[in-house]
Amino acid sequence: MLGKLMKYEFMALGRIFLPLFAALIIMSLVSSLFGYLQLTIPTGLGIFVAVVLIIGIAVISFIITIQRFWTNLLSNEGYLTMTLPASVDSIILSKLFVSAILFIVSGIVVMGSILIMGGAWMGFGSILDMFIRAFENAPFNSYQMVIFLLQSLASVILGSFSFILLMYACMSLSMLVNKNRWLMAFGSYIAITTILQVVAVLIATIIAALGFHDRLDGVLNSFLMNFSLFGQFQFLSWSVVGVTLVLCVVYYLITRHMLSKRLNLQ
Amino acid sequence: MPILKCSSLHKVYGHTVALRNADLEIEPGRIVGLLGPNGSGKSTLIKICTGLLTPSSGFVQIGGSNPGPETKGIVSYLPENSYLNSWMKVSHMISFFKDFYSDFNMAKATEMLSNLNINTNSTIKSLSKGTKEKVQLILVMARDAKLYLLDEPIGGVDPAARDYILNTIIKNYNPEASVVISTHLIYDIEQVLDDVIFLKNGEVALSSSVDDLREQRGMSVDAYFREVFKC
Amino acid sequence: MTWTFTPDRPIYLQLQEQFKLAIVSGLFKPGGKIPAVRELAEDASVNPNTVQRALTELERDGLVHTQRTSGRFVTEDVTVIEKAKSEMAMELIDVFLEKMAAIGYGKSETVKIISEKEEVSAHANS
Repeated sequence: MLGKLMKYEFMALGRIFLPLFAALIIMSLVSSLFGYLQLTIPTGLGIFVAVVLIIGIAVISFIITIQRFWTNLLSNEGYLTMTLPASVDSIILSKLFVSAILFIVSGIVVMGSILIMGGAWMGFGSILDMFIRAFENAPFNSYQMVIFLLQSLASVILGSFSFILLMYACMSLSMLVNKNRWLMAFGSYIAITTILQVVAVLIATIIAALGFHDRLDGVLNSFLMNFSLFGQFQFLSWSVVGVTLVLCVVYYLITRHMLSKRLNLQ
Repeated sequence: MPILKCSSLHKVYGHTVALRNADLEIEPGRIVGLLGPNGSGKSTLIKICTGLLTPSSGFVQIGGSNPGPETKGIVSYLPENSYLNSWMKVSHMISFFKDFYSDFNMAKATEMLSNLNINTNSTIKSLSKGTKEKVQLILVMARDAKLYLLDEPIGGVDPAARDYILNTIIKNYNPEASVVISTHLIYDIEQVLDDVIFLKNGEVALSSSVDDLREQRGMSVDAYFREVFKC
Repeated sequence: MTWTFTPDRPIYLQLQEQFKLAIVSGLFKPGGKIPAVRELAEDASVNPNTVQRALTELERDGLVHTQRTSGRFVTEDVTVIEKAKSEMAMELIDVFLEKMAAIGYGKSETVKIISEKEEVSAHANS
């Protein structure tokens, strides 16, 4: 079921994004060509259009993620989707995975288009040099770089999951009211982010307060001194990943509860 | 074993009681009318059976199981409103149904669509309201389901389409499956029904076969309904 | 075949009567095959269970019988059909006489009116 649901999600998204991606790549190639031919005005125009497309892709990705969930699960189409012989989990996950893949692919396409245009501007050789030098100057060895890369990847993926799931949770909570649901969804967003900020400030204050306590400060310092710079960095990274994971689970559970026990289609 | 069994089904929304300890049983091979005025709880009852609503208390069993992905695979639901993806083509919707429902009968669907001269290449968006409703009906009836739940299928439809819908229901009759038709237009469907269930203010006011009712009361179900629900 | 139903009596009873009429009048010939339940239900726009019940009653009356693999057939026994025919005729006559009595004509007067009517028709046709 999950596969089938994802297939139809891709179908729904593909018809909008494939043309956009194609347009962006073509625009990048075209403006690079103009750049190579030293035609300043068309190049400038081409870059302008490409930038517009990039912004467009970013904005539309965001809007589509919300729209797909809202239309397919909470509006009239919900009568069909929620009566399919599929579990609520597979329904939520299909949308989550496809949206996340969309974000990542969009990112790759956008980076690709920037590289193409940058490469034409500066020459591909110099871009490669830039990367190699950044690599060499980093204060970590290659093994650590790999870990670092994996962590970044995990953060990016979990980060997009968390963002998408937060949107889903807010939209699901809108079913608690019968009128002005978009207002309720927006309100939930404000409420949740506010709560998170309050909690974050609380934790930060506690840590700072603890920091003033000499004995605890000593304990904390000696704990951290056991690790190298890289180790401390790791500690921070994994904490961030952990927190994001917890948030993902919370948002997911909210969405799941609303869709299975508190479904309220109109 | 009854294909549908509701026990003390109770549903509350805030201060409104939509269903009040409703009990009913439907055996396979029956065409049942769920009759009652607007707001009597018909839609609520059907939505609980499809899994779209969870009861406040009491339970529903479809083929002996609680509502879930398995029961959704044997229940074919036709809601009052259109639930099709407007950007898809009719042919896509057919593939969609075939993909998700193992009991979808492709041959039946294609036959019904061609009988009504519906172009499968058109997008749902481009179809007229009446045609959209027919496509939805065809998709629902083309499944070899065990329980069909039709919520107000003949409500806003012209007489010829009404005949077509009733005829489709008769044609699809299967002694192992049951059809529940919720409506307030009784006169048109009375002769197609085996049994009727009257819902009044969320309670089951009457559960009887059409034959028994006519014999005992000497009047049509439609006439008796008017008596029971006189304003 | 056109089917008419009144809303105040069970449909299976009305179907039974209309089937009987079809058999007695020769529309469904003795020994002839009766269409499948589903076909009849579609044609009359009624519930298949209702058709089934009506046909079962006719089987009990002996007007119809089922051959296991080939379906339902009208009885070939013409005497049974004739008996049903005269029974129906009697019922119609009883109803007719009742109605005539209601407007004031007794049995013998009614018979007289009918024969007079016949003579007038015979004259008009010759």
